[in-house]
Formats: sequence, structure tokens, C-alpha cells
Amino acid sequence: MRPEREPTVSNRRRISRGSAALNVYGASFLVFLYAPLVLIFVYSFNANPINMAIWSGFTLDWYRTLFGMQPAGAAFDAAFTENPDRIYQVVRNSLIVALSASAISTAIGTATALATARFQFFGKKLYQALLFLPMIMPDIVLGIALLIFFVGAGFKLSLLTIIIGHCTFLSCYVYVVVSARLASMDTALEKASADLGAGPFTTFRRITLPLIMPGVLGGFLLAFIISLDDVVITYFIAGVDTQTLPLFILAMLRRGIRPQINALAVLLIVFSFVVASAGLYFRSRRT
Amino acid sequence: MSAVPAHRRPFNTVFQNYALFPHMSVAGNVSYGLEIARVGGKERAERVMDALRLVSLGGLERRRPSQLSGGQQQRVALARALINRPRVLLLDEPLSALDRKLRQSTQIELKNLQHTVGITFLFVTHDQEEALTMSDRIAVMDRGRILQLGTPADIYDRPASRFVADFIGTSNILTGKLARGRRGNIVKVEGGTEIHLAEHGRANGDMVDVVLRPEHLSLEKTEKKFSGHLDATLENIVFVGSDLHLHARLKNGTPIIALHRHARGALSTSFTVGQAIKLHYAASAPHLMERAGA
Amino acid sequence: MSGPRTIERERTRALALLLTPITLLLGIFFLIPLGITIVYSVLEPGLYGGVVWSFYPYNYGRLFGWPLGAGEEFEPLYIQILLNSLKYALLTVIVSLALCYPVAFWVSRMSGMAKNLMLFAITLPFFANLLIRIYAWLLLMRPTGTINSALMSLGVLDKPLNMMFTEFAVIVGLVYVLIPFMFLPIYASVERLDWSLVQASQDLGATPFQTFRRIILPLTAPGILGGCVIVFIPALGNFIVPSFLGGSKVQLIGNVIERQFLQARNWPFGSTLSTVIMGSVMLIVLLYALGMRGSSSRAARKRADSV
Repeated sequence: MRPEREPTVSNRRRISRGSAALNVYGASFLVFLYAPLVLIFVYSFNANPINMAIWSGFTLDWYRTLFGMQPAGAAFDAAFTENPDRIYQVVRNSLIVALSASAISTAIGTATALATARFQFFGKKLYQALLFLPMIMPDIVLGIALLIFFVGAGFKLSLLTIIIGHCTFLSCYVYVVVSARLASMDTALEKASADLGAGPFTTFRRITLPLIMPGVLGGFLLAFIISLDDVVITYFIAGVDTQTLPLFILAMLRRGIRPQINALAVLLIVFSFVVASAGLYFRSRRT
Repeated sequence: MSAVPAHRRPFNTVFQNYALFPHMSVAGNVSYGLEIARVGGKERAERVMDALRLVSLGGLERRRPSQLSGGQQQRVALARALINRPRVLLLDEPLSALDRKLRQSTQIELKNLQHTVGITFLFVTHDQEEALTMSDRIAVMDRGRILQLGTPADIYDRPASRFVADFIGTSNILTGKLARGRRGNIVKVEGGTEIHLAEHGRANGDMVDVVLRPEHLSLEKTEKKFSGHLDATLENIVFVGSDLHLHARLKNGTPIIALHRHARGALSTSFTVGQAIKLHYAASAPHLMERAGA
Repeated sequence: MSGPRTIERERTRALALLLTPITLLLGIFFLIPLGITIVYSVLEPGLYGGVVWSFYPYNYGRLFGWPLGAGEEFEPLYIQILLNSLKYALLTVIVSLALCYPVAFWVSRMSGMAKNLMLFAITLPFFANLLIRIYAWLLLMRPTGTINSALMSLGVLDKPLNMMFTEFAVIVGLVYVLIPFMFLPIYASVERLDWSLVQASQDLGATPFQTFRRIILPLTAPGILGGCVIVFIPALGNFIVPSFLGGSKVQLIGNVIERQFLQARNWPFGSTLSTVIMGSVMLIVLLYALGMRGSSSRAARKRADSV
């Protein structure tokens, strides 16, 4: 790997002290990243309904009431919990939106990546730059732009408008992921396939697609989570009766901090992390 | 052929980095062309076995390319191409990634393979020694154009131009005006040197390039018949085992390299830098070439 | 029969087929809405919300002081808020840069498994919901929150430290949310750093600080710049973080836009503000692109000279 020069004794001590300091710093950085999330995790089991910071016993009730099950502990006021049917409704909405948006975006993004990776055309550089634009623009600009557009065009704000809104920036995200994958692919393989008699579509089906599939899959999963977690854009283009999970959480937070939020938050984080991990794994996997 | 799309051309290629499909097994790779051509399963399986046996890879059908050595991968690439019975097999610098020993043994294997299969192998290489040893015919190319097409001997002894002469082996190239002499031609080089040669083929008064290979130049006048010599000053002596390379310079400053077969004792120790020497050659040795364009 | 022209035609058709979906999608649902926003910024706000289709540039007057008319008064408050937002974005960039830069080196020095694991660990929090990440800091920083409770129970404080609804809280929130964006480009640059150059510098007698300033810093500059741009822009337009952690004490441009659209129902003015942000973003991206092109062409020119 990297050839190291033989350090002198005092140099060595300085280097090892420097490395130790860096390690400590790195570790604290990780703590900084994860401590807040761990905190919510811990609080979600805290039986104290008034002050989360004071531990008054372990309970699973916050989770139970999320699913509409009866709490086991005493003194569980309905004022502390949300309507589980409502929760089910918003989760369902979120999943519909996320699945549709990520599926459509994956198809569109992959097609676009193939086009820019394997073809040359007039104005390609400018076109590629424009493809980055939806990801660079702040969410709020996109959100209100879509709001004005949908209202002005007479679209009723619904799950469909949310899906469309998500597709715009998710397609660009998938495009970036799949492009990277295509760039690292050996183009000689496609030439070899043509050399052996396969037409362009057959080559795509039997060679290109299988080789970029991890990237495509990874892009899909990550787009799914990004859609599921989207707050700002959805905030502007969701209809009154089409609330998604993040918007529901937003409303909950505005109504006042309650312990049940912790349970919901933990479930959402765990789900996001599981899917995102799978997505990241596929995205970086070599065939 | 460039008007025909790649997948419809009647020849196959062995790519420089082999381009084996990483997500298929060896058998999958080899049978790919047949699958595309919709050859039936049974015939396909038989032909795959034959192809693998041909390149001595029987038994490795199920392996993935990543599990094979470089030499094995190359053989898979060969099998994959040859199984389609192309009219011509194109090999794109197939030996450049191999080390010296492996390269030499593979050269022999490829020549044998070509004799067995019987089709034309079009072998692309930068290594001129490789080209000379392996080919029945050589095409020397520069920037996409063929400069000369001929047997290895043709290319070496009778290069058509300066580029070809420079490309294969070491050469001394002198430019001058052709004049008819009593017994053959004389090329008068600027600075007073004259080259006597028996070759015909250019008009009197033409500007020509003459090439003399180092091994044609000798310190002893052995040719009793039609011959010539060059007066030069010795600049450097390089000992390369069995031979001596003599680096000298003509009166007009042109560098000359002569190859002297090492005679035990005698001549080898009697040189000094700066010494004036005479380099003799037989008149049949120099070769006339097209004058390189302006 | 197939000649070069049919191949050309087939390829063009394939290309068109592949690019049509994204072109339609972005053309209709991205470019047009942005265009409409710009149009709205010069329309007249209706009395009870909505717009009146007449040319009304006075929203800009309200924001910048010119042009004025139709009863719109110059409200320098909005310029203040804009400048304030720029300040917050800049602070966020600086803090996250300072935090991420050493970590990039730390991770880069690791080998194989550990490195991949660490990259994964640093990227993962990005995929936790934005609201939840901010909520966590709310829990930490509020008067009855973790930090205060811990410090009070340890006896360090006798009354809670006021961290909420301060500039500090908003910066913490923005930094925490945007760290993955800063980390990845910097890390990419650091990974690509050729350590033999560092060793050459030391071999030639440079102190660690000199080596850092003259070798490491310039070579990782592209990654740093990229990270800054990718953090600055979302920080500028963010309204969730100031809304939750800043309350009414911290008003950033994002909050204002949100209010214009959902409460004040003055869509034209909101569009004006949004257009200003759009313009700023385009300007930043343009500067970045020019800067990058300048450095790469300078490098290419130097290479050409040395040949």
C-alpha cells in the first residue's frame, strides 16, 4: 500500500499521539452523529409520560398504542396517543407514494443514464448540467413552484401530485447513481457481445442490464427512502386529505411533544435504516 | 466493414483485456455466440465442449472468469470467438498483458492453434519482434493506413519506406541522389559519402532513401566482388554478449550503427573512441526506398 | 440491407426514446413550474389570495426598494432576513467544514473493511427522517431536555441553560442535518490525494503545517468547494430547522416564503422571494462551474507546456 518512511523516536511518538487524537476526534464525531438518534430510541421505552428526560421505568406501551393495542401500564391517557387508524392511513399513503415514485423514477433515471453514457449528441454537456438542477435547487423553491403549477393548471392536490413531485428529483437521483455504475462498467463487454452477434437490444438485455442491476436496485431502494422521508416538497403539494407520514409527524410535533412520537420515530428510523442499508449495499456492490 | 453494424460482421474478436462476461460462467461465455445465433441446445453443448478442449480448458466450464488466471481467461476468449467459426479471427494485442516467459509459450500455442483451426488470424501488435516471429504475412500500419504488406523477410530485407525500415529492427538510413554507375547504381549522399548498390528500380537523378542494416556492415572486407565501404569515426562501443554494437558517425554527421560478430580475442580490444574506421558492405545489401514525403 | 445511414437512424431513434421520459418529466414538472414562479413574481396579489394577471413589479420594490408603486412600501426587513439567511448558511458551511475535514482524513487512513463500514456509518443518518433528526436535538436542547436535565442533576447548573430558539440551536440543527453532504465530496478529494506528494514535501524539508498549507489544502480544495456549495444552498432555503429550533426568534428566508404562501396568501410576493433564491442558487452554481473549469484548464495548459 503506502510505503512509510522509518520515523525517528520522537517523530514516532508525535505521529502516534496525532493518530490517537484523530481517533478520539473521529469517535466523538460518530457519537455526535448517532447520540441524538440513540436518545430517541431510549426515550421510546421510558414509561414517564410527562418528562422524557427522567427515567421512570421500561415500557413497550408507546409501541403498543401505535398499533392500536391495549396499553399494559396504568394511567395511559388517550390524550397522549394518536388515533391508530389515522396512523395506518398515513403510513399507507406514504408507502403508495414512495413505491410509485421510486419505481417510475428508477425506470426514467436508468433510461436517462443509458442515454448519456452510451450516446453522444448536440448540447450533451448542457443537458447533463440541467439534469443536476432539480437536486441542487432548495426543496422550498421546488415545493412552491409545483404548488403554483398544480393549482394554476387546475390539478387537485392529491397523492398523484405528490408522486409527480417526487419523481422530478428522484429521477435525477437515480440517474446519478446508475450513471456512476455505467461509467465503471467495461464497455469492451458490450463490444464483445456485438462481436459475437448480439444486436443492441440483446446486448442490453443480456450484458448491460445484469451488470448495472445492483446500481439500479440500490438506486430504487434509496429513492424509496428519500421519497418516504420527504418533508418540504410534500408539505406544499399534499392535499388536505392526503397526508403522508412525515407530514403527520410534523403535525404531531406542532401539537406538542408527546412520548408516543418517540416510538413512531424509532420505527421509522429502523425501517429507513434497513432499507437504506440494503440500497447502499447494492449500490456499492461489484458484480 | 464499418458500414456493417458490429453484430453482423462475419468475423470474431479476441479483445485486449479479454472482455469476458463476469456474470456468466466459462461455458456461458463460450456458448454466448451460439445462443445468439439460436443454435439448438444439444449441438451447442457439444460445440462448447469441443471448443474448450481445443484450448485445453476442459473441466473448467462452471468457473467464473474472476476465478481464472490471465492465461486461462485468454483461452476462454479464444474459445468464445472460435466457436462461431468466423472467417477471420481478430486478436487485439492478446499477449501484451503477459510476462515474457508466458508470452513466448503462448506465441507457440497460438501458432499451433491457428494451424489446427485453419482460419486466418489477424494479430494486432506493437511488438515488432512478435510480428516477425509469428506471422506469415505482416502489414505495417501507420495512422490507419497500410504502408507495406508482405512476408516477414520482405518487410525486413526490402522495407518500402523509412517508417517501415525504422519500425522493424535497427536500420541506417541515408538520403541521396541516385546516379547510374558502371556496375549498378551509386547514391551520392550529401557530405561526400557514396553508396554502391546492385539494386535497380529508380530513375537516374531521383532522390532516394537507402537502408543498410547494421549486420550488413563489417570491419573486414570479405566481399571480393562488387562492394563498397563507408568512412566513419568510431564514437561508442557497446558490448552485448555475443556481439559488439559499433556506434560511429559519417563525415556529414549521420550516425551509423554496425553490428560486429564478436570474434574471440583479436579485434574486440583493438578499438578506441575517435578512431577512423572503414565499414564494408556487399553491394547487394543496401536497399532503395521511396523517399519519405516532404 | 443496412448501411451507415440506417445505423445512424436506429441510434437516433433509440436515443430519442431513452431521453423522452426525463425531458417530458423535467420540462413539464420542473422547468415550467419554475418559469411560472418567475412569472408570478411580477403579478399582482389578489385581495383574498390568488393572483391578478397584470404586470406588477412592485413586489421587487417591497423587497429591494425599487421599483415602487401601487402602495407597496420598501420593507428593509426582508433584505435583513435575506442577509441573515446568508449569514446562517455561511456559518453552517464553516462549522460543517471544520467538523468534517479531519474526519475525512481519519476515514481515509483506514483500510478495507473498517473504511467501508465507516463510510456507511457516516452516510446512514442522512436516511433518517429530517424531522426526527431535528426533533432529537429539540429533546436534547430544550429546558427540560437531556442536556439540561443531566447538567442540573449533576449539580453543574441550578437553572436550565437556554439553548432553544437561539441562533446556536439553528446552526446546530443545520449542521447536523447537512453533514453528510459536506463529508462525501471532501472525502472523495482526500481519498484521491497522492500521499507520495506529502512525503515528497516532507523530504524537501517542509514542516507539517507547511505541507498542509501548500500541498494538502490545495489538492483537496475541489472537494472542499464542492462540499461548501452542496451545503450552502440547502442551508439557505431551509425552513424546517429554523421553524422548530428557532421558533419566532429566528426568521430565515425559508420561513418567510412559507408564510407568504400558506398564511399571508400573497403568492406573488412569495414567488418574488423564491425567484431571488433561485437566482442566487444559479449564480453560485455558475461561479462554481467557472471556477472548476478555470482550474482544470489551467492544469491542462500547464501539462501541455511541459510536454
